[in-house]
Amino acid sequence: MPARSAVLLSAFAPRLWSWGLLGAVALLVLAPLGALFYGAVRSHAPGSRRATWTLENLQAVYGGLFESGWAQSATINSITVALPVTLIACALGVFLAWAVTRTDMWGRRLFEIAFLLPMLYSPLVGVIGWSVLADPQAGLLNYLWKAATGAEHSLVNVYSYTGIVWVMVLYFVPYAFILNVGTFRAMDPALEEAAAISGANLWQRLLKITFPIMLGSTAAAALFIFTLALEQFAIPGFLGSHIRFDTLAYAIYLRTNAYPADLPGAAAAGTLLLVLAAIGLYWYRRLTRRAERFVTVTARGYKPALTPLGKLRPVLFALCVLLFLAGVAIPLAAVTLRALIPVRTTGLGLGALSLANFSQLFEAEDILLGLRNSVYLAAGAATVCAALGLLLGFRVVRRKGRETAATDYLVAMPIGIPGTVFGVGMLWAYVGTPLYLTIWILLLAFVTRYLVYGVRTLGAGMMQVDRTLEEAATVAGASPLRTFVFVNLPLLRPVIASTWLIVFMIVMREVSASVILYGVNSVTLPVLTWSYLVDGSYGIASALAILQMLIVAAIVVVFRWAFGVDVKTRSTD
Amino acid sequence: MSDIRIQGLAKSYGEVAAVKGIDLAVERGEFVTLLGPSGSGKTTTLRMVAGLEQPDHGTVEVGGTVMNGAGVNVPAHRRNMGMVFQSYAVWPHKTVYDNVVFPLRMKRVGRGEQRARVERMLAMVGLPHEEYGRRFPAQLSGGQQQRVALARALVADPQVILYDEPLSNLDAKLRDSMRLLLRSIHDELGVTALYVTHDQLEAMVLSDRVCVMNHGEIVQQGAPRDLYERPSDLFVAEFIGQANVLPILEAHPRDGVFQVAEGIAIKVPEANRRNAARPQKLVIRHHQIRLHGAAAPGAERDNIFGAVVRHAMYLGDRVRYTLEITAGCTLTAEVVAEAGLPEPGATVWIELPGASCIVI
Amino acid sequence: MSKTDFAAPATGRVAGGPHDPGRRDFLGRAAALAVGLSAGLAGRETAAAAADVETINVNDRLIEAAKREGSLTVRYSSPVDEMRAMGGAFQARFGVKVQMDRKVGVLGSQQFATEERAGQHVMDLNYSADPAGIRDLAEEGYYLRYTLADLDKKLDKGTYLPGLGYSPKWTEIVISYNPDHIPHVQAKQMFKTWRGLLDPKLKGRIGLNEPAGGGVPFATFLMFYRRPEYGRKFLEQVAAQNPRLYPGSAPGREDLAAGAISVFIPNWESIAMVHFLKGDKTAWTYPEIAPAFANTYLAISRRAPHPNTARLFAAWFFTPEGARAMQNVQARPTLKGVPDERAVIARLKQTDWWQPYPEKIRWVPDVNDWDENYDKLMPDMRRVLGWKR
Repeated sequence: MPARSAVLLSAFAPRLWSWGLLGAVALLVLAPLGALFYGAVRSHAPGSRRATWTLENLQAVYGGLFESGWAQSATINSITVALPVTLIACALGVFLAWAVTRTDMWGRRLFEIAFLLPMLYSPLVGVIGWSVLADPQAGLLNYLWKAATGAEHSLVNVYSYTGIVWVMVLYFVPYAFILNVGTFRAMDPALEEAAAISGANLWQRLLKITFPIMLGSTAAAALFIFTLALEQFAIPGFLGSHIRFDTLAYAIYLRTNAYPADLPGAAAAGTLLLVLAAIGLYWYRRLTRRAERFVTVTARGYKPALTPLGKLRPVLFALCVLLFLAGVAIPLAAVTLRALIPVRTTGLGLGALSLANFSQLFEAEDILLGLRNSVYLAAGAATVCAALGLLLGFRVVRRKGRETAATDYLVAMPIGIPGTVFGVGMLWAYVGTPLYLTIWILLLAFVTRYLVYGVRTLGAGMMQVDRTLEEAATVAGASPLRTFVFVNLPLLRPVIASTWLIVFMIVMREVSASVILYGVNSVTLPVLTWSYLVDGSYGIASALAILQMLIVAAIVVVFRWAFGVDVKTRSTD
Repeated sequence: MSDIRIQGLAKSYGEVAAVKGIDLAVERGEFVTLLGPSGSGKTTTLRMVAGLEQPDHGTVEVGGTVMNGAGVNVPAHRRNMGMVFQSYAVWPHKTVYDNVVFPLRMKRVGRGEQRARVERMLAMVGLPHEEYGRRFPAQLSGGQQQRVALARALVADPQVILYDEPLSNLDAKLRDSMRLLLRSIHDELGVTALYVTHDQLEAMVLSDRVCVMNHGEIVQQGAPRDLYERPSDLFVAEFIGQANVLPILEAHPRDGVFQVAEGIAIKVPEANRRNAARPQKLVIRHHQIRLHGAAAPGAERDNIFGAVVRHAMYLGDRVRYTLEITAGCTLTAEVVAEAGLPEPGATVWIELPGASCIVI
Repeated sequence: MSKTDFAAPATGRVAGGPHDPGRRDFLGRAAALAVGLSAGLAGRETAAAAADVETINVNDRLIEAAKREGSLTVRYSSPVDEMRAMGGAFQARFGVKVQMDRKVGVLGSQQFATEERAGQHVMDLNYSADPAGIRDLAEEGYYLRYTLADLDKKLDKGTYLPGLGYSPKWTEIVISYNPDHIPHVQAKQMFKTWRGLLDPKLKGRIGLNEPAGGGVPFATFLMFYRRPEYGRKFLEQVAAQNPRLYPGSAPGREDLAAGAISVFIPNWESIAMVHFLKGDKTAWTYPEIAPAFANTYLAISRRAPHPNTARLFAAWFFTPEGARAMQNVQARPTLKGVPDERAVIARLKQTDWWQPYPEKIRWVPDVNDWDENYDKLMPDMRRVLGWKR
């Protein structure tokens, strides 16, 4: 029996597996997306008796692009926000990744962790923090500025195009950082040294050698951030309405949320975002068509040759400190301050600081339920994404074929649409199943949406495992399964762990799809925060956000201690 | 006049001293190799000369200019050097031409001259511009990439050229032809060269002078032949070429006789005794042991012993023997393969010529 | 669902008694099977529902039946505090667990529709400020047609959607201001009419809840459009004051408290009172005319999994007992003849700025006008305020 099954396995298994996996992934992804496309060509929400076939929704969105109106202005606004956000966040992320991995700057290790902190909290933390800090009338920074200089006009205004871009840039820098830091580590330092010997100074080296070679990985990060910036609705929504600045994602959110609801319209507009993300993907593929011209990640580790900064050392350090203060520390401090103020009053109101918001938080019973659900969901989604990512990544990297390429494209689709629209698609697709309103539909939603992290990260990790190691095991008589379990798994342990952590952190703060799919018993911490915020309980919402951040940080620390791995790629020194 | 002058150069990484105060002078046009096992400090020394690492102590002068010294640290890009790396370090996003022209652009050489010099360099390394200039590195073999790196290192007329194990990533056959290319280019251009390798054969073939390094120090330096024939140090003897190293049990310096095993005393001429005061080892290279077959040679010769052939390994052109003189004293010998050599189990007479034995 | 759960006779509707939807469900399903199409089922039920309106009365039999069901799922979008207090009061009174499922904005209605279409009957009751949504879904047959016993004696017209939803609280629009910016005396003077908003000193210091933000802003802007002394022109003038627009009222109140703006409109008195009790220093005043409406309706799902509890919950808030529960969250009950016993009143009386709500300013919007013209007016209001939509 074992012999026969082994023969069967080796003969048919690879293709069968590939197609089976492809089928499963296609089902997972196409169910909500299909529901959305269907909804976009219906006059009313799918299932409604009055719903008929129509192209009106698509006409309103795509036709609207060519005439003055919301579709055009929101699309233009979306792009005019997403593009500079992508460029600036990538520039800063690459700069920080370089400073931390390739220079002898002070406190590199500390910065590497510090710059990842924003991954732990929701974008709303940035919104609250910067509203407290940079409101043109009541912002603390403006108070201080006016008090210090006697000026009449305020210094900063977060309710502006610049403000929106600023808060979004700070939110996305950690993404750019984490996506580039590994490539910097994998890049042969001799490439830079050769340029130095050739007479190139630091700037010439960076501009002519380092950054052009990094372009492949930076472009991948940029595409990712561009997609996420397009679908991010909370930041432009909260900050942009004062100045009537509308983005597609927020217009879509309003269609799902304000009176009267227009879900088919939201679905149609959602497809436009998918198209924009696809255009981004097209440019990325054009840019990186010749992958071999960019840095190739080799299996060997390089000795960290750190660029001596010389006189620039304090300058770079100061820049990093400044960025940390502006991007992480000050907004976090502002949110903490807000959490400690029970009732907002004009001015600072430092006299009235108390923990009332925190104690009120614990009086509500749902916080423990929310915490439990969030941790279960985040851990569950992280585990499934890592496991599926391992299987799929293995296929994509090792077995070239049309079906594996298709899988690779498929998994990338769900992050291209806003979370709210994705939530609506999930709702339409699964409302008739027993999963509905249970924690399981949320798990399914998160796995579908974040599978791409697993596939991409683990795929990249798999590429780094020298194939000969697998072949050695196979020659030694190990079955493919045994090879996988005893050779690939241990080698990939750090990558698996970091994938797990990334998905865990992202699920821990997911709100837009959850808000649509949660039920009474499947409420999550971010949903609670969102509720308090919408309700105007800013103090409690801030307290909850801080609490959540501490909990996630604690889990990350424990995980790191248990597995000896962190989200950062491990340094060789 | 020395082109590179290193004095008291030292560098530590934390607790570990990588280089422990090295003195070295390289004459203009000389080809000097730093030879040693990994961790011997040779690469660190080279990188300090290049300006890629900063020494803790000591000075580096190149062409009479102080590069590292009291309060001086000229950064790498102002040292006017060329360097060839083990990993080629050819920039993947630039064509062959753009790779090679880069140092000239950095020096703001005129456009017309740039082109002429790049074409001349490319021709010299055997990658004619017409055929290879527009290719990208990914379209070249490893050997071709290293030629590009070589052209790039030399194109801007550097004061010195530094080689950091440039051939170790190439296969054996390519390595042979690259060695020839490197040496012929050196003979043609006469650029002072400092070369790092762990391959003693490479060092022998290429260098005017070899400095053997171990544990962060230069243990011996000299012409390749000198080092081979007259190692002053046990490490050098073992590292360069293959040698039998026998412990000296009893020394009789007055007669020049050294006992290496029960009943085995070997006579060594005065000139070959490096460590007369406290002799510890006796060294003889594999190929210097002579086999005399079953017939005993004349009695007038010294150092003749009977031995049993334990193993014979055919290496094609040579045969390597494991010979047991007495219990516990085994020697390795290599002889040119020819008809009538003894088989395993045979008893033979062997000779350890005194002129080939070195006492350390 | 077992038959013993229901106290009512199998024949169905008995005025004032609990009802047995399980039975009717069964019959409906049987009919649908006969027709072979679910569309047929829905069509029949709509016709039936339009004809029959069930009258609910709170009596012992209903209470007993509700207690046996043991729990209730209410979906809501109103302030968390208010719903918690309502659920808590009901739970304390009847010992039935109330599960409160918050879905902000119209999500609750949409989710309910999606569920019903898929045959998932989860929600019992919707506490919703989305009259259009309620009416739409009632037409599809998803909401119970019901009325309250002695309706005329209990409620004013305009506080309910006849046969569908009944609002337990008044929403009375006020103008909120930050006394650190505008002293009480000055504010009272300034906002004798809405025209006070046009004071040049307030340029850039006004916060507006944007028209799509819900019934409160829409009713207020509707009043401007409909009152000849204001008109659409007035909203244009307000827009020229360069107000901040808030997607919801909560961030507007937060910014007012922080002093980011000096005035916030439209706010409503009961939520302002809740914040006052929490220590908020902002105050409010009444102009010469202001919308007062009751548009947060209790609507019952026709296929509520806890039909008796749903009915009890809906009807109980229109009893004096239930009305007092509303007063506990400082809401003014719509139930007629209930003395104002809100705790906040005593506290407010101690201030030097508060005065009781002047009944004469009440402007009750025409529900039909609201309903029919919403789709046209809302985009126009947004345009006037500077949006591209």
